[in-house]
Amino acid sequence: MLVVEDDVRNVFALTSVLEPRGATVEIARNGLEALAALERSGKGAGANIDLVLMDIMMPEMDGFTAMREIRKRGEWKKLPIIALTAKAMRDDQEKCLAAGANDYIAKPLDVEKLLSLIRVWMPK
Amino acid sequence: MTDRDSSAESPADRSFEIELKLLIDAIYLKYHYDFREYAGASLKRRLLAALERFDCATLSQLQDRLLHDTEVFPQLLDYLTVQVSEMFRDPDYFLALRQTVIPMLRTYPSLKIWVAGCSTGEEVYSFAILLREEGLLDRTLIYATDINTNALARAAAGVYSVDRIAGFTDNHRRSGARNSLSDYYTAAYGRAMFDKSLRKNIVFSDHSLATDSVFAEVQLVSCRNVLIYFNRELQDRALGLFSDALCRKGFLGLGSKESLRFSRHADAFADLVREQRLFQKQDFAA
Repeated sequence: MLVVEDDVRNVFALTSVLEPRGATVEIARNGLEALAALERSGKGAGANIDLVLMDIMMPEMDGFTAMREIRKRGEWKKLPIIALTAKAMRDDQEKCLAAGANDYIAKPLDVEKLLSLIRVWMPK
Repeated sequence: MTDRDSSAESPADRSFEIELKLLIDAIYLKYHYDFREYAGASLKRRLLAALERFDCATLSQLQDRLLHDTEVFPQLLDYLTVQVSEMFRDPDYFLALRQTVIPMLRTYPSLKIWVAGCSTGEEVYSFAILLREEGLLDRTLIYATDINTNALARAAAGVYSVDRIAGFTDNHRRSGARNSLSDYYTAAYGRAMFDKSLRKNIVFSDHSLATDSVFAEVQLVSCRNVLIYFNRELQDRALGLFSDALCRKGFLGLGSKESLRFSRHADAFADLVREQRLFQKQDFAA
């Protein structure tokens, strides 16, 4: 699983939820690092990133741009992406879906809800 | 094989027809479920599947088991009645409801909605969610009816396989939703359970469009992909119930392949959103 997030506190919160549940988490701190991580992860059935959690506000390349870049690539068209949006930004949610997110969750994160979303979107 | 051969009724077909009629009568006499006016083709298809499932060579064998083993009927009922649906099926239907019907429903101080033939509940939860999003759920009572009590029990549980949720999420979004479907469920152990607060105003109830009568006055009836399994007479009966149940200017939604055009009750309704099979009861008060 790839976590794209620049705030170390959020990265820590996410890894401490996901890793004890058996997920292998890779971290990228912005959109550019996310694209590089996906590139390294390989393609098709052998790829080792099954799902992406994508923050929106990040330096260098933000989440919207990163998702649009990911969706441009045929091999990543079906990669599940859950966007992490700010609660106050209602427009962000629609912009996330338009940019290619499969779903979104507002921050601060509700752990149970995040796990539900991962169970829904994680490929079987 | 020539056309003439394939259209001719063989003796085996003839026997099947007789057995079918006897089986349907047996179900009616013993269990009081009336399939006598269901459309022949789909009933045949379902019964052929049931023969395989119950490992019977003929419908007569199935009838024997049906009459003497009370465990068999509830299982057969699933074959005859359970329709697989999805949440926010045909998202444009729900979008049209949001845009056209909801603004008018908003003018009522309290609302009653009837989802007829609700099967395992996907359509009912879609309505509950849509009404919550439109701020109307608290003042709405939803009647969810079906003849299959097993299906109703599953509807009341509100639990669906987790691999169906991604599809439901896409439909929900295309129905004009402004938030995520994940606001309404918790997923674990391969299942997603919908929030029980959605069910607070839903009454699940055993009701047959073939034999029961109207039970309430409602502002909206949604009955999609149910009438296609009925013959003309039974369709007319069901549409008569809907017409009687609806208040003045009430709304009726049917499935994408269903029509009022040839019905005895066609004149009672006017098109509201034709492409989405949304109708409004005509006002004959004048």
